[in-house]
Amino acid sequence: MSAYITMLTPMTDRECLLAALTDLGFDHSKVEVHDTPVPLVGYAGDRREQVANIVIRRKHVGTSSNDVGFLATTMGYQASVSSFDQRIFGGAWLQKLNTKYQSRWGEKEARLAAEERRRIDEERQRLVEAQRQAVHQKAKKLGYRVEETREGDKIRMVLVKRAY
Amino acid sequence: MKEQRIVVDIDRDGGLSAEAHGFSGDACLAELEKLLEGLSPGIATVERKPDAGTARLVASRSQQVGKKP
Repeated sequence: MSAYITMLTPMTDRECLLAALTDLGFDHSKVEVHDTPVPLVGYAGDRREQVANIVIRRKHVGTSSNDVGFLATTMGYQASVSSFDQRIFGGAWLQKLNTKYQSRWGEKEARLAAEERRRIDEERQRLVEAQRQAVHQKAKKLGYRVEETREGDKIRMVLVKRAY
Repeated sequence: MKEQRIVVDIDRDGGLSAEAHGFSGDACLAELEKLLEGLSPGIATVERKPDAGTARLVASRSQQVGKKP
């Protein structure tokens, strides 16, 4: 007989949690991911009342072990580890998992920030190019000769027209 | 015969400024208006600079991207 103890860890991002689990030896081949929570299974094959979205089946956890699961909640993923498995997957392991998660989260934040910067930069370049073309077309329409130079990111257009 | 010249600068942020030379009176402003019309929904400022009997105008329009108003 074993009992499940549920502990809440402040991990909200699935991708980062899965990456953290991989870091601790549980890659995608050992982890099930479900959009709808599924029941955890005990060491005797019994269906537990606990459910989880991310499940490490007992065969990957250890001999006589129960499933380890993570349930997605509005407060982050809630870890479900049986009291039997606490000796290996208890507080110290969860702390280690959490440290890996934070590291992965930091990487993801940096990646997202870089992507956002790139998106803004591309948007800016499109705007500048559209302005350049519009000025060019209008200048031609107004009878100007256009000389264009670039200095770094800056564009200078000199429009010249002879007036009589 | 005289030369009319407009220098348009577009910076990396899409900020646009234009300076007109060689026009008489308000013709330079009208020409800049025609040139810059519809290019940017941003704020336009106009600065007049007296220049030996002619008017030199500087018009600038700026638009920011990636920022909500």
